[in-house]
Amino acid sequence: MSHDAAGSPLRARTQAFLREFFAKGEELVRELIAENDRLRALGPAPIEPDVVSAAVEGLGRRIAALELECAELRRATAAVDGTSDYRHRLDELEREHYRLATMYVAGSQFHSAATVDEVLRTLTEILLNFVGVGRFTFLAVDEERQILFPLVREGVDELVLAEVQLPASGPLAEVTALGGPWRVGAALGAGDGVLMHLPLYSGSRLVGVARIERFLPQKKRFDEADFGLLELMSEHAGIGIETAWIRAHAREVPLRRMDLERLVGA
Amino acid sequence: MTQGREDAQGMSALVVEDSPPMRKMIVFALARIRGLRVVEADDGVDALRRLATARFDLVITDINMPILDGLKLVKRLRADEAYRDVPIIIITTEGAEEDRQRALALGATAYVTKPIQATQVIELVRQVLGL
Repeated sequence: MSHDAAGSPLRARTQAFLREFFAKGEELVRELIAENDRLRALGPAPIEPDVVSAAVEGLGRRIAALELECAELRRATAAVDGTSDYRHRLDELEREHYRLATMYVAGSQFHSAATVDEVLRTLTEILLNFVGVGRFTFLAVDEERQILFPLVREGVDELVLAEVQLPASGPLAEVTALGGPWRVGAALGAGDGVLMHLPLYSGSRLVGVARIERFLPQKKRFDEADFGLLELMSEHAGIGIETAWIRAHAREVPLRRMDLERLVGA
Repeated sequence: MTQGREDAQGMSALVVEDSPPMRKMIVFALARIRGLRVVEADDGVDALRRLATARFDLVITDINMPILDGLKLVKRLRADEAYRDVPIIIITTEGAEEDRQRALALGATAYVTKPIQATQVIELVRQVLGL
């Protein structure tokens, strides 16, 4: 660091600047103290009456508006507390929310299943857990022999059902003759010891029938939510089975740009 | 039951269910309870693994599961000092009264049969957690 010699022009200029700077500061402080004393001597400033009343009136109006709003809220709250409509509606919405979520989960499970076994496991879990079916048989289609044969049975140990020749007769014929997925309002295909024959389609191709035989002890009947799920199963479990079937028999082919572009017409 | 808390902030539940769609639906129902953290386990063994590494305020379990079923899980938990008083809810297809009695005798807090209603599960969970 360099040192200016005492009395150098730079040092003299710096000292002069600092003297001037502090003198101005001192003068400003003195002015501020004087002004403070003057204002203290004056006392509080009078407020114009019309300004006060306008401010008070404004506040009064605001308070009145808030009171009105509060009264309105109290009335609304009383209405909510006083009737069961609100609670009932909320429960309805919760049930609908849950029903839609159930259908979403069921649909996504059918489409993400990679094997026929996985699709049938999903079918079993949904019938058992979501619909409350305690006993059912999945009859698969053998297209060459034109028969339905028992492939999976839930709720009993053995597969004792006989093959069914297609076209079927009796209650089973009602659903296999649909030519497409079962819809709410169509025949259930109920019969002796059978609550419903649920056809599983992929488009118009019948791939199997879920023969629903018995509810769980705690379940008494199908309800509206069940019908939505059964409709979804009839359409999507069939597609799931067909997709898994194709996958099981498809030759593994690597994904190639040229082929993919041809498929999308690019 | 006290009705003090507005939500389940800081609380956690373990859902033990071997059926993926059912597990998803229980988790979906629990998501309606604000602040409740939910962890999933595929079966009883997976549950024990998770219970050994974290503390849960509630256990919801199925009964019929491979390797270690729900009733054995309840028994194991009630023998564990850390889980002696933690609420355990059974959600099962087993609707017979003797099944219910057996589960409650082993120490289950509540017993719910499938198919479930989300509102019923939410209400029950709120009740056992004191929400």
